[in-house]
Amino acid sequence: MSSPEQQENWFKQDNWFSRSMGWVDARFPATETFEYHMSRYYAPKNFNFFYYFGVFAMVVLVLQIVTGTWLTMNYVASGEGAFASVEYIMRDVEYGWLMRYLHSTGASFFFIVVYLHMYRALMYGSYRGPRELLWLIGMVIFLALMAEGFFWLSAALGQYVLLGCPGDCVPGRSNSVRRA
Amino acid sequence: MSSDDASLENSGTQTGAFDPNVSNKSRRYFLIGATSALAAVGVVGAAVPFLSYWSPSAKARAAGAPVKIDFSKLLPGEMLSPIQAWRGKPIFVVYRDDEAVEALNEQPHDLADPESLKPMQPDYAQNATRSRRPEIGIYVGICTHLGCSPKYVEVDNFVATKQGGFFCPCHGSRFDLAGRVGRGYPAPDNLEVPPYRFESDTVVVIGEEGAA
Repeated sequence: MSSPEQQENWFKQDNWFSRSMGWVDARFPATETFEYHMSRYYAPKNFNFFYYFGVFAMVVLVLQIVTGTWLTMNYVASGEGAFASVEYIMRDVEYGWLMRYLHSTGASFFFIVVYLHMYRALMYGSYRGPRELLWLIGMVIFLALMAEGFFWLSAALGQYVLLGCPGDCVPGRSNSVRRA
Repeated sequence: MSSDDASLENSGTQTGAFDPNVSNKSRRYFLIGATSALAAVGVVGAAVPFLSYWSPSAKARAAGAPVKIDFSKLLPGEMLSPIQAWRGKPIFVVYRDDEAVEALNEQPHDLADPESLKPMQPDYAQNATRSRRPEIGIYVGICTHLGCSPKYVEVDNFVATKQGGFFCPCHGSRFDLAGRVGRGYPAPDNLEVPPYRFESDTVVVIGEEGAA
């Protein structure tokens, strides 16, 4: 490697990257936003392990969005087609099993991570003024997460009723249940 | 980086003494480079399953897989029945007797494309019988007009020559026993010849190219 004197920050040198980002930054404060919220986010130096779970939650959110999008490419959202399409994803689609397991395990870990994130907020008083609004917005996002989980649950339970329950085994529902 | 990162920059110095004005930049750039390289490997590795997901599934590959057809019970003058499918398309296997092969070589009737100049067949089937073996004809049984499946007619498909062939009942297109369409019929092209190879004297593999 060259000596430290010769080296400058690669991101600040005149190269294709800095020129492209310069073009963007002249029109939209991308670098400034990234530095303000991520790379130079002003944070106390005594953060501990529990402060990781916010960014973990973001990682899992991206993972869920991406794997969920990929799963919808082969999922059939109907009472007749859902189970067969999941079988198809698991057995025939390349890496379909991985996509589904990432999504299902990711869903479980989303809650684990979010609960630890909330535990941190409670333990360290992250909800206190002037951050009350932050806590409230987080609560709304948490409700949205639970609602999202419930949508999967109702879809899966619907399949159990349709496919796994030929007779009167669900209270209140009789043979009139449409069978796939 | 802000000035309070100086402690990080110093962490690689030999003395161990903290000096906020000295920074170990080569160490920093090595770490940035190594981290970036590892991240790039990770991104590529993570992309593999997501891109592979788009490739044909096992089901699709099975649906498009080569098909073996055993025609050991086929007699001269017959077409194989029941008709087998390859990629969902009916495959006609006809056993032409010597007389029919001779008639094909002579091209006695009026054909739209007697030399098979249009690419409706693999190179090895661009001959008078449009086949690898003169007596065995293998064609995709779909009329090139509007996609009906023609019927096999052993003799008298063409009135003038009394030759056999294929007749499409939908709009009356007539093909000879090599799948070549007669001139003046609605079908524009000869019947398609699928890629195929003979695995043995009586077994043909449709959908695979090969020496034989």
